[in-house]
Amino acid sequence: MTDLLNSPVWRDLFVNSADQIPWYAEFVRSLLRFVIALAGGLGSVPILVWLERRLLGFWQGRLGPNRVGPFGLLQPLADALKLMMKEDITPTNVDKTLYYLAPAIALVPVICSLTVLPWNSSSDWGAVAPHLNVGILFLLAVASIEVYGVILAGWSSNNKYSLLGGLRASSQVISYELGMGLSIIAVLLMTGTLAMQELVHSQTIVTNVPIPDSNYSVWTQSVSAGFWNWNIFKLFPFGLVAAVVYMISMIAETNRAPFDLPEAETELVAGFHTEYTSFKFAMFFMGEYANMMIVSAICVTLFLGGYTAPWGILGQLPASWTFFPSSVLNFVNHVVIAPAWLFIKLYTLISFFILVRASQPRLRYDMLMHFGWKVLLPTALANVVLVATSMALQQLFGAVGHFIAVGIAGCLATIVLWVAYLHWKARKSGDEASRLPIRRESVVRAIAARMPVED
Amino acid sequence: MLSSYIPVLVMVAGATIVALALIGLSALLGPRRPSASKDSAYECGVTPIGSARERFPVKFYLTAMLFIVFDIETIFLYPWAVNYKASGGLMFFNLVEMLVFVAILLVGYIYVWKRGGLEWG
Amino acid sequence: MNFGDIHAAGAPILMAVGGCVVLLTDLASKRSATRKFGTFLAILFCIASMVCSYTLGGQLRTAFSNGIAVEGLVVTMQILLAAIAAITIVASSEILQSFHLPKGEYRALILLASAGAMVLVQSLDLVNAFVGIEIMSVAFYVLAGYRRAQAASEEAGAKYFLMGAFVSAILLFGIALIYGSVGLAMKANGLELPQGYSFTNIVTISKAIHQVPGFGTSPLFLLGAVMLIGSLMFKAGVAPFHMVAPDVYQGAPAPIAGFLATTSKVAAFTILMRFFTILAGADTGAAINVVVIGLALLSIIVGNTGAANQKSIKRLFGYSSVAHGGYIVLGLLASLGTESQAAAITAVTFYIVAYAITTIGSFAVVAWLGKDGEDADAISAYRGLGKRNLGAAITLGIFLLSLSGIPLTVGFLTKLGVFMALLSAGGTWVAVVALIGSAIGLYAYLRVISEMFFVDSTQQETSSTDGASKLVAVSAATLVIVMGVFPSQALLPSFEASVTAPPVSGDEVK
Repeated sequence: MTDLLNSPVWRDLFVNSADQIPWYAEFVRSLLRFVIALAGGLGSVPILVWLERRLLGFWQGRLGPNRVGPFGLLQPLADALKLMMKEDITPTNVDKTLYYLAPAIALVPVICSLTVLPWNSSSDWGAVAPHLNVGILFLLAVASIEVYGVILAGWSSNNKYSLLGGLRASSQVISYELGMGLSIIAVLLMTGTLAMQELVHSQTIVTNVPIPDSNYSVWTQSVSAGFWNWNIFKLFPFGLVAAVVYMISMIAETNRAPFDLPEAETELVAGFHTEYTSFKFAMFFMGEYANMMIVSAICVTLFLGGYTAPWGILGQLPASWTFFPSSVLNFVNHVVIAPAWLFIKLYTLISFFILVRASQPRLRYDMLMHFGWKVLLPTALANVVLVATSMALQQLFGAVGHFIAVGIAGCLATIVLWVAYLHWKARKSGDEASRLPIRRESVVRAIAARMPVED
Repeated sequence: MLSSYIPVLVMVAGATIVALALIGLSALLGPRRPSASKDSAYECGVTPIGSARERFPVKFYLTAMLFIVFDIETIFLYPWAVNYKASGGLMFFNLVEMLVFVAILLVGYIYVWKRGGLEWG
Repeated sequence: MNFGDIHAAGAPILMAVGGCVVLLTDLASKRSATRKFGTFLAILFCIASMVCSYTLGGQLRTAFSNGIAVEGLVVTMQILLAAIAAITIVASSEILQSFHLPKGEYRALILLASAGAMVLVQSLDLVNAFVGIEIMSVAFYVLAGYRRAQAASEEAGAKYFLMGAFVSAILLFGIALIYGSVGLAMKANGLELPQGYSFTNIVTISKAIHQVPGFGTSPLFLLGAVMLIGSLMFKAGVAPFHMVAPDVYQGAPAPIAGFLATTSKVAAFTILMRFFTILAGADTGAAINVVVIGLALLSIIVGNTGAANQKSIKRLFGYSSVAHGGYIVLGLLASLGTESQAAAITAVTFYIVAYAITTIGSFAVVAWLGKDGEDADAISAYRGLGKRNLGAAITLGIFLLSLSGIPLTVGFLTKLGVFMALLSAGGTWVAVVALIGSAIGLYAYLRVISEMFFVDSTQQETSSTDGASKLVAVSAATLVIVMGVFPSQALLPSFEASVTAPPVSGDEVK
């Protein structure tokens, strides 16, 4: 056993740090991390589905699934099994290649986005690609491929509902991607890095903890410095604005209520996946839920301190517990506590989005596009500029600089809101003065035309 | 340096395999009882008229074009944002440079808005 | 970056800012109210740009990390470009009014296209040149198809866009090849990159050409250079890349056609002139010479024969611009010889300026004689014009004579200058072929003149209201005569003075 633990291959695979190992060791490590990520990512889809249905049931005053297994926990599994055994219908006149490829194109990028998501602070085992220094860019690049799956599904199905759903989905997703990208820029300005792991570190206190009585390499301990250091609270209120913009865009990106126009069942049956059955449908379904989880996890990483606890002491077992060897303490800290915090934050956030779904009515499509282009985009852009201004002013005048920037932001917001109010008022009075009477008149005329003439 | 991309490769390959396997699985497991009406396009029971490959509103194209413009703007902002803090010297100078860039795009944005390029409905 | 840099790039910056300001003012106010004000604003920015260029003076200065260089030639060309933009805006206000075309965008596009052309003219780095050419071209595509409702205009826009986008890719590929070949050659020969210059900088390329033995004949560089020259020639409308030019000139409204014809030529030939100065005296084998001679003669022949039997006068001007592009390329060819370089550059500069004036004037006449905003396009519409509207006939006659190169007009002197430079460079047979081409061209132009003066027509005279076009045409005609009769007193010396120092030569670099 000791021989094995000390053999060079074992050390390459599990002990040495990443810059000292040959490529095949990195390959094996990547495979392992990939399996972990897949288990965490796709594995939590059933939990998520169950959670959503139960919570929706709770908020709508009914029970939700409660028959299969304790509290209906096995319901998603039963659903998956059922979907797998259903007939796989391929309608005639579909574009076969694209029709078969589309679910894969929708699912692959979602799984790929897991690559850069850190789940603990270990520099070798903390993410699938812990050393990738372009994390966020990779994420954006991969996430934007996803829309291809949707539009190809819509187009290849040769179904009018699918086509409309696909078009709606693609233009909605690309519109909200802008707000998303710009809100991430605000975070990048504050932190100055693209690597996801460093984004988390920038919200915490980082220490390197040596582990004396073990073979394992040094693990980087990222200890929470308190939730007030999270990016969402940095440069208040700009961090908060960025976070809110991100969260709204994130709901729209995943086509969830109240932005679920592409699947509006009252008008489009099921949108772009109307023609999909069996497991091909399940892939869209899985992709959507996995995506929802991933964008929430990114939100947690970017704005809410990632896998760290909101309070330092909650995030780790104290080193004073000397009756455990320090390697065990570290193991528990990294493998149990850090991912646990990630999941706690993640599910809190997701529960919030389920609440939004339960309580908010669906938008109209023009409202959706107006909101994305005329509200979210300028807000995010102004926010980026204001973050930069605040930082530049702080460099010049110290902390006072930030208050100047907030003052500028306040003036700007007041002006914009005032102008918007005036426009709204003008339009409303215009409506009452001109449009409504015409409408009434035409209605009267239309009714009169149909009525039998009375002598 | 390049070895940091090995996981990306593994991830993309793995995800592709998983996705293709799922498609294959669905084709293998389910029963197969095709019929003419089952295989026709689903339009709530009504027989479909014509092809679905029709022209669609130009608005969608416009949105795509505007997206390209503003997405490129965002991408150009990324390197600037990452180096903003670390570039040394006066941040104010970097700020002004980017303000010029944003201002040029803002002209385009205002133009599109005023000309009704963002109107739906 | 400092104030000096911004001042050096001031002309294009002012034009670009002007474009944005004009666009926004147009949006902010009611249409009819800003008609005059928008024109005024646009002209103001053109004048500011000219003043900015003028204050730079004649001495060479570089800016933006040697990305741009300004000297007498560039200042001349920038002032010319700003003037063309201003004249076009003034001349086209009537025609836009009658077509009900949006004016704010039009003015902005003209200003932005000029800004791009100015960037192109002053760029020392090929990457800057590409940026300039794209800014210019994208505005051109829109302008070419500006009369959306008319099929010909739409066709012109689409054709120009497709061809232009294709050529831009070739240009970029050429720049990439040059970049690669320069980098490879300098590394292989242990040469240092000149301090503060990039690999795509013309100065660096010049150093590689003059100091690396065999670089000028290396296939990588030659391919890149030919792609670069070819795509810039397309922008200038030289055969065999001319197919789009007649269609575009016919499809676009006359003032726009004049603007497209002149601005693209001024910008593309100026940057080509700069590129050719570094090739001068270098051993590039015969490849470049053969390509340039081929392009020049082909466009002279194609342009002049194509013009011969046209029914549309705008197409005639289109082919004429192809032919004149050929003569300018002949001048560029002469600038490749070390002795004839100075004379050739003077001749080419003078040719470009004279051609710009003549072309703007000719298209202004077409707009002037048009009715209800419709250009007087068919040559048959000019039948008997001498009886009906003597002023217009004489004005157009002057331009046609100048285009064909008859003495006492500026067209004669420009051709003479180019041929003299060519003869001193030893290109006798080339000059002879070009002269034969000119003789063919004479037929095309004289045909129109004889239609105007020696054929009777029953057509009714229509009184034109387009005062602006009339003003532009008449003043351009006056200029053509003045420059043709008193070249030494008028403008020629200033060109000589402005280009005695060639933009950047190889020996400047250590």
